[in-house]
Amino acid sequence: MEDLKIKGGYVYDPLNGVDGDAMDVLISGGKVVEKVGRDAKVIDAKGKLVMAGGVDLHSHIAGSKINIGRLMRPEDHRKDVVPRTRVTRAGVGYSCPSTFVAGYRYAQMGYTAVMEAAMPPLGARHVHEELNDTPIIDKSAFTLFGNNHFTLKYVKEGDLEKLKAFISWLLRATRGYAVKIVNPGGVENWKWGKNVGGLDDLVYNYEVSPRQIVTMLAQANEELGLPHTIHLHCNNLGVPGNYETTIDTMEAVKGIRPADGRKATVHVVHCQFNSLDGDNWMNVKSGASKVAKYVNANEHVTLDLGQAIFTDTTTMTGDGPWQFRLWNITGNKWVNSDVEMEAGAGVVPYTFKKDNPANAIQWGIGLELALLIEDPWRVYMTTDHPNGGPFTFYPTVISWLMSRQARTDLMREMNKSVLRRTTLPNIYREYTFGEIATVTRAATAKALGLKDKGHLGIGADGDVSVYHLDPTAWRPSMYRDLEKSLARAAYTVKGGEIVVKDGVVTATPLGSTFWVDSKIPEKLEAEVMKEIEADFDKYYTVGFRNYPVEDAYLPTGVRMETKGRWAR
Amino acid sequence: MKELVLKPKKLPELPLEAEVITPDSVAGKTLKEVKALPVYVGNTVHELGDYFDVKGETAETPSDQLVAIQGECGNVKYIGAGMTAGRLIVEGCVGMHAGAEMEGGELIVTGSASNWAGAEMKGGLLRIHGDAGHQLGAAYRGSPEGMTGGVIVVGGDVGLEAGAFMRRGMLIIHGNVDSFLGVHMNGGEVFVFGKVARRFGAEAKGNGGFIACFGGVESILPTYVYDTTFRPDFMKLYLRQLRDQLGIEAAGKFLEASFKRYRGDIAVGGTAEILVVEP
Repeated sequence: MEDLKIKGGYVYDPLNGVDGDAMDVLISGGKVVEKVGRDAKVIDAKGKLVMAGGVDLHSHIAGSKINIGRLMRPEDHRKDVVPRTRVTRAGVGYSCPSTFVAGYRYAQMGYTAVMEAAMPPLGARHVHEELNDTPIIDKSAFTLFGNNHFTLKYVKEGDLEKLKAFISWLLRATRGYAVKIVNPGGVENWKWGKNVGGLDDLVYNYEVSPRQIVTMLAQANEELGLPHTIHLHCNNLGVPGNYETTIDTMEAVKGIRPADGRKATVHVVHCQFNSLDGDNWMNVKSGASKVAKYVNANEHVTLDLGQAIFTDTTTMTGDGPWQFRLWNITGNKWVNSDVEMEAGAGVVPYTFKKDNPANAIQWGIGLELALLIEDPWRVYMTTDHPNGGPFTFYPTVISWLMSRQARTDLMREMNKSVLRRTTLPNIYREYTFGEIATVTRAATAKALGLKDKGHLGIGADGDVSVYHLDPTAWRPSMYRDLEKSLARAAYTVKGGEIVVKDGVVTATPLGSTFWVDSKIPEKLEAEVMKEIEADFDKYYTVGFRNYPVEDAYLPTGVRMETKGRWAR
Repeated sequence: MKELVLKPKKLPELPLEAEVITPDSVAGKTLKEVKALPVYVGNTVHELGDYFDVKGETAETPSDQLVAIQGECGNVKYIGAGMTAGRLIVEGCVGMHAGAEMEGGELIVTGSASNWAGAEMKGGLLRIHGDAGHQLGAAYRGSPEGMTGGVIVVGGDVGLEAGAFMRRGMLIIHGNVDSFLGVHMNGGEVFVFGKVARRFGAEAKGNGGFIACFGGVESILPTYVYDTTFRPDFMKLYLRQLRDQLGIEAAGKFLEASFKRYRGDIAVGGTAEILVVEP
C-alpha cells in the first residue's frame, strides 16, 4: 500500500490537543507516522476539516435482532433501494440496512469503527457472519450478560470469582468485546410475563435484584480489567419517571474501583430513553437536567444519547418487556424473541413525529443531555441506531449540537411541549469542532479502550476522515452546509487506504473484528467449566462443545488479551 | 388535450417494466426523447421506442396530456404507476402494478388488469372495464396502509385481497370478488355488485369504513355481529353520486334498498361495517 500525505487540512485531534491547526497527517503501513517517502500519494486537504475516523460505540448492525427487523419490514427496504456499482454490492437501506450497505454508509460519513451493541450468546455465529459481510469498518460485538442463567446463578451464590470466570469464558466463546446488560432481571422475568419495576425488585426463582446483578457485573468487569466498562441499558426504559432509576443505577456502581487507567465504571446507553420525568405519557417531561447534574458531579459515569430523530424507524432491543409495552402503545407489528437461558428481544416499528408531545420531549432530552453535561469526554453522540433513528442522521444530530439556530428552527415546527417541558430553549451552548471530534471519535475510542483509534497521534491507526468544510469560515447559521458535508466525506481513509472519495465508496476492504481474551486461572477454569457443562447438558439445546464460536468465523479477528485481578 | 399514441411492436417474452408510460414522464418532451425513455426487461435496460411505435404530440404539462396505448400490454408492468395528472387509456389488457401508487389523473383500461392494479393508490381514478387480478388497490407487503385515496372501478371480477389495508378511497366492483376483500381495512368504502366470497373484512379496524354488498355474500365471518336492518340516507347519497358522477348504472337500482348491518371485526376490536342488501 502506498504512503499517504493528507496535506494542510484543519486537523481536530482532541486526544493530542490539536484543535484546528493546519497540518499534515502522514500515513504509512496503515499507521500514522512521522515521515513518509517522497513518492507518497498526496491528498490536498487545504481548507478542509480533518478528523480521525469516526468511532460509534452503540449501534445495531448485525445479528438476530436487526435481521428480524429486516424480515418484518419489507416496506422499509422498498423506499431505499441501493443499486450496485463497480465496487459496491446492491442492497437496501433505511432503518434496517443490509450488511453491505451499513458498511458503505458508515464509511461515507467518515466512520471507520462501529460496535454492535447487543449479541445474544446463542446468536454469536450469526453476528460474526454478518459482521464479516459488513465491509470497510472495524467492529466488535458486546455480549449480553444481564439475564443470563449463569450470571444470575453466580450472583445468587455471591461468587464473584466464578462470575469473573464465566464472563471471561463467555466473551471468549462468543468472541465478544464487552459486557452488555439489558434491563437486568427484567428480561428474565419477562419469560414469566412480568418485568422488574426498579432496582430492588426480585428476579423469579433466582431471588436476586437488578442492583445485585449490575453491581456484581460491574465489579467483575473492573477486576477483569476489560477494555470497556459495563455497557448498561437500565431498567424501566421508556417509563415516565425513570430518571430516578437511572440515577439510582449510576449511584449503585459508584463505589467500585475502576480498572487501571480509567475513572469510569459504567456506561449508560441511549440515556435519552432513560431520562424521563413525570408520571405517565400524558404529563411526561424531561428529567435530563437531573441526570446531567448527577453525571457532572460523578466521574464514574459515561453515557450516550440515543438521540431521537423525526422519521420512521424500527425499534429493536434486548428488552423484551419494553418492546411489548411499545407494541401496546402503537399497535404496530411486533416480534418477540426468546433466547433460551440467556436473553430476549423485541422488534416494533415506530415513527417519531414532530407533532407528538412525547416525541418532541424525547428529542429535547437527547440534546439536553449532550449540552448540559459539561465534559464531552463522557457523553457520546449516538442515535442508538435504529431505535432513535437510523445512523445516517448523525450529521443532522451534529448540526443540532453545533448550532442553536438549527435547534430553534426545528423547535418552531414542533409540538410546543418541547418548549415547556424541557430546558432546551434556554440552552445556548454550541459544540465546537473539537468537541464534536471528541464525542464522535476520541472519547468513544477511549471509552472502548481502543488505544489506536479516535486520534491521529503517531502510531494511531490510519483512519482519517476529511470533509468539504472550512471550519474557520463556518458559522452556526450555516448548519445545512455542515449537515451536507458531514454526510458525504471528501475522503475516508481506512487503514491507510482511501475507501471513500467525495461521498462515493471506492474500495471495500474488510475491517477487523476485535474480541477480548481474558485469562482465567487454570484451577478455577476447570471447576467453573464443569459446572457450566453440567447445566448445558441439562438445559441447553446446543451441546457444550458446539457452543463456542470457531476462529473460522473471524477471518479478520483481533484478539485483545487482558489480565485481571483474581483472588484465587 | 394533446394525444400521444403508443402502439406495441413485438413485446419481449419476459415482462417489460415500463413505469415511464405515464402522462407525467412524456409531457414536455419531444417524441425523440419519449422514444428514448428507459424500460427494463429482466436486468437489461432498453428504450421505449424499441417496443412501441410512438406517434402524436406531447403537451406542456401532464394535465393536458392524453396517452393512448393501442394494443395488448398484458405483459407490460407498471403502466401508469405513480401518475399524478392527465389521462392514460389502454385499449387492451395491462400487466401487473398498473396504476400502482398513482396520485391523480385518470387511467382507463378497456381490457383486464393483472395483480396489484392500483396498489397503494393515493388519488385519481382507475377504471378497469374487464377483470382485475389479485391485490387490487392493496397495500404492498409490510405496508401499514393500502389505498389512501382515489377511486377504482372494475367492470368484471376481482381476485384475492382486494383493498387490503385500505385507509381511504373507494373501490367499486361490478363482478364477483374472491376471498379476503378488505382484509385489515381501516377506512374507505367498498361497493360490490357481484357476489362476495368468504372472509371479507377480516381484521378490519373500521374508522368509518364499510363494505356494501349488493349481489349477495358467500358467508360472513363469525367475528362480525349483526345489529340492525335499516335504510341509511348516506347510502342513497353515495349511490346517486356513483350513478351520476361515475356512470355506474347498477347503483341506481338500489336507491331504496334496505341493508342488514354487521359490525366488526370484533376479533381486533374493530368498528367496520358490512352492509348486505335485503333481497
